Amino acid sequence: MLRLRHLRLRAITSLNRFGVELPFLPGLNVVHAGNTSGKSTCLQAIVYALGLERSLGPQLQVPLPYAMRERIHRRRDDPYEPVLESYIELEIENLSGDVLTIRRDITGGKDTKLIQTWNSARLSRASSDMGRQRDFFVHDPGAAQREEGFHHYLAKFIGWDLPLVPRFDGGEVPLYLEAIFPMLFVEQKRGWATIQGPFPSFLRIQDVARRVLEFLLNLEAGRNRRERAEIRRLLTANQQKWSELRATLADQAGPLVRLRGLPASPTAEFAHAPDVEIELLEDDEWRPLEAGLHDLAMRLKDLEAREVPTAEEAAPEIEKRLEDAQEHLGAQTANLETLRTEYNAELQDHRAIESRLLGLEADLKRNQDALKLKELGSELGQIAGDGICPTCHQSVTSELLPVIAQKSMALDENITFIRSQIELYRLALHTSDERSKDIYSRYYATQQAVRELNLEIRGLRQSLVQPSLSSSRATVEAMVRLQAQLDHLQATQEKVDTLIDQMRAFAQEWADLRDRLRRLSTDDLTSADLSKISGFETSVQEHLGRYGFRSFRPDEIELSRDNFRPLRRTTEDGEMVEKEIIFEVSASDAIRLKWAYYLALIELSRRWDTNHCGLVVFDEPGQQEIEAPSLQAFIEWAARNISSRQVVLASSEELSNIKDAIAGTGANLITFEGFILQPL
Amino acid sequence: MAKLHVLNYASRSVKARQRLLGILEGSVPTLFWQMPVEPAFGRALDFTVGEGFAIWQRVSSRSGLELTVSGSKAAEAIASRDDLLIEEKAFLEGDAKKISEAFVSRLLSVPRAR
Repeated sequence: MLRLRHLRLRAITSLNRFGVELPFLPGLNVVHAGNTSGKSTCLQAIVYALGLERSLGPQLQVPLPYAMRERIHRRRDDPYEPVLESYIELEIENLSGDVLTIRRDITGGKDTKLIQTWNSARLSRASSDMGRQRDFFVHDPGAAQREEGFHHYLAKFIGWDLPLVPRFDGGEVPLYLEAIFPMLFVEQKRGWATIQGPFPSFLRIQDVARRVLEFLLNLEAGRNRRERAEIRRLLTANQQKWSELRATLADQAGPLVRLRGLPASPTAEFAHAPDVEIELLEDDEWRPLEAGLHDLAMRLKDLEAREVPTAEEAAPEIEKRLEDAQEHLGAQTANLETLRTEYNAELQDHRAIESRLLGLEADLKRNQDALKLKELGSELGQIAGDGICPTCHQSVTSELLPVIAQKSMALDENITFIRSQIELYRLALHTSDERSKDIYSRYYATQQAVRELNLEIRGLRQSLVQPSLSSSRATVEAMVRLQAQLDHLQATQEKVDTLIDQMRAFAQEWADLRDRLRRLSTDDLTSADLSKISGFETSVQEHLGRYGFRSFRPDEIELSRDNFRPLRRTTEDGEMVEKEIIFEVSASDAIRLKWAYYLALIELSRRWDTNHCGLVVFDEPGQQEIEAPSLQAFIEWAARNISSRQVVLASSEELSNIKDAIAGTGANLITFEGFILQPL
Repeated sequence: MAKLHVLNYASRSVKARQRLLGILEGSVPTLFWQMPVEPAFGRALDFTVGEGFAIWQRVSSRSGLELTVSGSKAAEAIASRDDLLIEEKAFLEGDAKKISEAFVSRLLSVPRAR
């Protein structure tokens, strides 16, 4: 909630301190003065104090008349005095009763982008306690999002959690206060021209009217959409994390261990029971890692069980093993060379497929463009079909035009063909990727084997020259190597298991998010939304009835379920059409509609849970020479029915009419004779 | 139609022709064939059909063109002129005859893993 408590304007010249004090109360406040006496200045001062002048347009000039900026005089005929210093102070209150005093300088003081605040009622209560001062900035980037931005602070003060809304450029921004404010403040010059807003377009928010109304009405549809956007964001983050983990997993596993059945994206099934096979490359064969580990453990156990033979006992066997190892080394070295060639060939194929794919994708675009152009041509080039010669514009009888029975289809055929080729080559690329990985694994394994064999050969040779009675070095070395291999693989398995557990958690999160997304209804208004809108609609109709709306029967006016603008449904040629109301009603009825719409919106917050802050400001509601009884009915309704909320209006209407309208209601009438800004 | 695209591309440049012949002989891997699918060629085919020189045919789920009588006559008229499309005609009457549908299929498929 936002309530105005007190407004102070000051313009200081070398001779005088001009200024005015405007105390506001809950309920209706009427500022009454003659034309060009400074009423609008006061109301615009509220906009300026709140740093919201850009809701009126993108310019950054001070939206106040010269009396607050340059020169001022007491009476129309008095000479002007140059303004040396001027500022605005505004005291506001929120639902929790927190009071904030705002000061913003205009000339001669601090930078106009600075807003000073105190958390005390400095204006309405003369107290020595100034409260805590805090300074903010406006208009610079971040004013709505950063801690030091005034609008970020003001939104929090009002109790608004501003939704993120899409911009035309695809980005997202908070629904700026400048966008919302035109639904709370009707400015005199442009404010009466439209029923909603007018909303500033420079903020580049998509569907701004719908977004603002959705927020003010606190519709579930808007909340659902925001929640969906948030879930989508989380899903993207989840997918990204998943891909990262998957890459880490491949990295941790190393080239000798591969994982089968690890999906590229999280799946619900993975969350329940991940079916991942961890395989180990051994002797050119992929087999389950567990089996490999088991074999290694068995071999180690076997060696350990045996008594370590002496060098002499082991010599014949060592010689045999040496011979085997050397033979094996020769074979593996040759193998290494083959694999290297194979890998290079695969790499070349891979590049060829990639370049084919690139070519096909470019061709697809060109053919699609050609098809579009052809379709455009068939729309544009219909002149011959109409029986007119395209060159001489004489009419041509249809017998002279060739009948083309055959449908042109080459471009469609091209596109279908290219698509099937793209699909084929994508698959081929994937297969080629897998193959390269496989070859690399084999190459790596062979390299490892060659290293191991070299070590073994060296060890065996050393064993042969060992003193004959000492323990066989070869056997001990074999045990050590087996143990190291076993340790390494076990560590790998542990790492892989941990990562798979993490991925499982992500898959679970993914499944939960998908589930939430599915449960959220579509963009459509929910049934609660619809009854809220229909309450709004009824209220608008009742208001129109009160204010003498005559262009149509009030109950003919409905609110669009799309952007909530008033419209009229009518039948034309037996078809139901929606007519934009603003073009259909008289100028004075458009003003009545604006009153009705804004008051119905604030009234709605009495019965429904809305985000309306409970404040509406009307600058000169007596537009378009509207009849006095209508305006009186409008003022009277506001005076009698807005008690816990606040309506501020400035008017130069006949004072007696206003007094009649608010008689006995306790509305706050502030009247001025002559210029509002006077020497203090 | 794929064959038409192959012939169209090969008839356009000497380099493409050489490469295609290399593949035919087996000295160049099929993967090295880059065949653009020209929209302009597609439009040309459409105009051919529009002029009544050919009709669309569908043979075992592939689409192709069959020359009509007037199409054949037009082709013969072009073939009989010695001062027209000399290189292209030489290619079509010579090496192009070696290009079978089966060869085109092989050209467009992915070679098996070695």
